[in-house]
Amino acid sequence: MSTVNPTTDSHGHHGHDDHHHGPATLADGVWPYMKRWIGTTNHKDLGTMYLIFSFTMLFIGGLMSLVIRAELFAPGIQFVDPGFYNEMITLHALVMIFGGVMPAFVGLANWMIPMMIGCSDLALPRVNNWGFWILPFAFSMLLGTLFVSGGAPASGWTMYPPLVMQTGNALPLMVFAIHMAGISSITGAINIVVTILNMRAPDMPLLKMPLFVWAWLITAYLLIAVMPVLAGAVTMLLTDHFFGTTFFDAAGGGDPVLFQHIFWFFGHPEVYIMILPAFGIVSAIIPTFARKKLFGHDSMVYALASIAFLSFIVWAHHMFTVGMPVSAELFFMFATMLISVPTGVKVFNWVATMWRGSMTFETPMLFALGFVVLFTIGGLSGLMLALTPVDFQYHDSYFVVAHFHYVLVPGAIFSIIAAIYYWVPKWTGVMYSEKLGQFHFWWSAVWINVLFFPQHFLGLAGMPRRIPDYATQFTDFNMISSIGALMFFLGQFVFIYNMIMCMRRSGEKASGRVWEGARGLEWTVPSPAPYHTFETPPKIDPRELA
Amino acid sequence: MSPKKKNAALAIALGAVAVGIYVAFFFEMAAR
Repeated sequence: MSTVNPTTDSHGHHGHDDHHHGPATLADGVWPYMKRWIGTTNHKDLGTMYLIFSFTMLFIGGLMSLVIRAELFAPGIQFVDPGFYNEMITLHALVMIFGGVMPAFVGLANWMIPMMIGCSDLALPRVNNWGFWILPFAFSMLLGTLFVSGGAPASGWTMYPPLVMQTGNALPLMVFAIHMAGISSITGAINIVVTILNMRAPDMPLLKMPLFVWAWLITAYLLIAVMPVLAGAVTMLLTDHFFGTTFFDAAGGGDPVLFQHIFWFFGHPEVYIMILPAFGIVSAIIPTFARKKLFGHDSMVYALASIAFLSFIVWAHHMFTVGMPVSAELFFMFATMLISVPTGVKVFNWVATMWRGSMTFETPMLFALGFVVLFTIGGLSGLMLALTPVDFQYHDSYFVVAHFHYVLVPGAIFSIIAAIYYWVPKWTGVMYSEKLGQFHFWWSAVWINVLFFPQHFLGLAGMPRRIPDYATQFTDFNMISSIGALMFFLGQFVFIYNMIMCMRRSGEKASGRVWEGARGLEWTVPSPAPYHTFETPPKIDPRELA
Repeated sequence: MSPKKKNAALAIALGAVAVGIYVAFFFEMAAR
């Protein structure tokens, strides 16, 4: 199974190309090497840069979360003043969402989509380069707000007025950073849609595309639809602050609640922007290690589309307590609960794929299984929060923090880690250390639960979110949670070490197919994947199709 | 239409949708 399919392997041809037009390496000199990375339009180079950028941001955001957890280790003010604590919770969220999770998925899309659909690169490679290079500037500016007068934004990532209007000089910088990150996301999304719709190999009909490609196609549509809404909302904050408009100022006839509606009209689809690609990754990994075709491929596509559609009509469940007509609350409650149907279809299909499969538990599979179990816990607590009368009790409590961290950390971030373990042999040509990978999974799976599970109890017992101090009865669970945070964070260095070893080509050589049960065009090219792949459309063996 | 032009046309159309949503949203709210 580890041989390369001769009908679709264009290695010989591209090996020849590589010889003449290969990428500059350090051996060619520092400046040519830097020029390669600055000016590259190659989807694999840009995928690598997106991933390195995103992990840098995940590290910075992780350090901020340690500041938060250190402060919450014991009641009373320990290390930071409350204002700085608020800056940390705000930047932690903005950095993790817009700098960590989203660019990581864009990086994976860059690397894998052209190889999965049999085209040579994304449709607009220069736009791709531009979209990436916006990000370091956007996040330098956002993090730079820590040093401006008035401090960094401290109103939470939701930026609700009127509180956000108390931000000092950081407000326009934050707004501009969000605009830039949004432009990067939109250009990336446009590129992905155009590539998938126009550049698939002729033998690949839409419904035969891998689920990861489908998930990204739908995610890209969501991005194009909602990032401009966020841009509009923060522009209105800007004009309210500097140009005398009163969109959200009741004194001038505006309405602060309007901002919440606009923000969550963006914000809820944003949640699915961060989880649909994860569904795609898990749908790629589970069939490989169960050695079976994905159960219900087409129903998975329809479930993705249903979730994407429903994500537009549930936004007000984030603001049940703001005061709405009962009919509206009922509508948003039922619409939200409806999402559990397509999500249930997906979980059911993953389980059915594994049913009577010849399963093995390599690291990518462990992280994918961790995703299924722990994301489902986050989904179930989401169902609890969807119930309007129940949400009145849980709103703004630590239960909400526990819920969305279960969805985003052992959900989205576990899937990113699983994807990297799964595809890194294809990228680098060497296997990662399986022993370290197994250790990394079990360490992460234990400590992530120590970190987030007690937060359910804290929330149910009444501890509010976004506070640096708390009543003494919350001490024990907070201490446990903080220990979990530190241990989980430390465990990630094992992963970084494992990946650096792969990037240095230190490890057992990987075959083209890498995994015995893997199917799909990306496994028909050699490992490491040549710099240019599929410059002529491949003839596809039907067994490689989804 | 050549493949490159087809790509550009679709990209411009999607970009116009994004800019259109931004502009329409902003002015719709401003008109309220």
